[in-house]
Amino acid sequence: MAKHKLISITELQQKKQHTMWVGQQEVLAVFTSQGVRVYSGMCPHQGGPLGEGKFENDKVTCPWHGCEFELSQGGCTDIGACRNVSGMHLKALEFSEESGHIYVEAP
Amino acid sequence: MNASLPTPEAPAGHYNFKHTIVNIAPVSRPIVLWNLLDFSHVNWVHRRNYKYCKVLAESNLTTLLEYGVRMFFFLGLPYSSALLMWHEYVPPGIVRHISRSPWGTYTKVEMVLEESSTPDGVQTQLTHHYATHLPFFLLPFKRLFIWYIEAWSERLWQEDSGMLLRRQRVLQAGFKDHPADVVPRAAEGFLA
Repeated sequence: MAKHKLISITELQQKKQHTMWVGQQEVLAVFTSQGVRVYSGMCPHQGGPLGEGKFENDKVTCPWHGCEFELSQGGCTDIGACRNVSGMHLKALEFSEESGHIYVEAP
Repeated sequence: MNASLPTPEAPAGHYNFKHTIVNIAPVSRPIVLWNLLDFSHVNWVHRRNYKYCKVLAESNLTTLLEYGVRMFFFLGLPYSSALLMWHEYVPPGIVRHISRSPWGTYTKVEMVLEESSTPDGVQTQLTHHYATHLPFFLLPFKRLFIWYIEAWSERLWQEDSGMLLRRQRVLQAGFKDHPADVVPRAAEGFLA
C-alpha cells in the first residue's frame, strides 16, 4: 500500500467534491458539513460514477440509477430506480490529512 | 415471476418501413447485454428521451414495460406518450422488442450483438433492425423518418456508450455489483 496525495483541503472546501483514479481504485473525496469524507467513487449498486452525480445537502445521487447516499456515514437513503436491492453503503476509504492535503492509502 | 409472457404479433403486412443502424463499442458482449437488459437506468440516463420506464411484469427472458416516450425530443418539448413494450432476450446474442403505440401501430426492433477480437482487445457490434408502420400520409416523408430514428438512436447511444466504457473499467478494476435481494421487493406492476 502506498500513500497518494488527493487534493488540498482548501481546494476541496471550494469544490466540495473531488474524484480521481488511484491505481485500480476510483476515489471520491467530499467536504461535508461534518468534515472531510473519502469513499470509493464507484456506486456500490453497479459501479456508477458518483463523482458525476448530483451533490446536495450532504447527499449524492448516482447518475445511472438514482441511488442516493448520505455522505457523513455513507448509508443509502433512496434506491432510486433500482430494483431488488437493499443495505447498500458507500465504501469508506482510509485517509489522512497532512500539511493541508488529503492522502489516501491504495495499492 | 415465471408467468409466460408471449410477445404479440402485428397483423400480417403491418410493417411498411424498415431501417438498420449499426453501433460498435470497444467492450465485450456481456457488457452491452447488461446495458440492454437494465431497464432501471432508462429513468436516469435517458431522461431526455423517456419520461419514465416501468416494469409491469416479467418472466425469465421477457419483460413487459411501459415507457413514457418523449416523441418530440428534438424540440425539447416535455410532452410524452405512454407506450407498451414487450422486451425479449434470446440467448446468447439477440434482444428484440415490440411496442404498441396509443394509436395502435407496432414498432419492432431486433438487436443483434456480435463480439469480435481487435488488436486492442475486443469489440461488440450492435445492429438494430427497425420495422414499423407509417400511415399513408407519412410515406412520402420516409427520409424524415429515417432522420428521426437515427437522431433518436444516436442520442441514446451517446448516453449508453459512456456507461459501457465505465462498466468495463470498473469490472476490470475488480468491482462487484451489490447483490440483489433474495426475495424480490419490486412492486411496480400489476403482476408484482
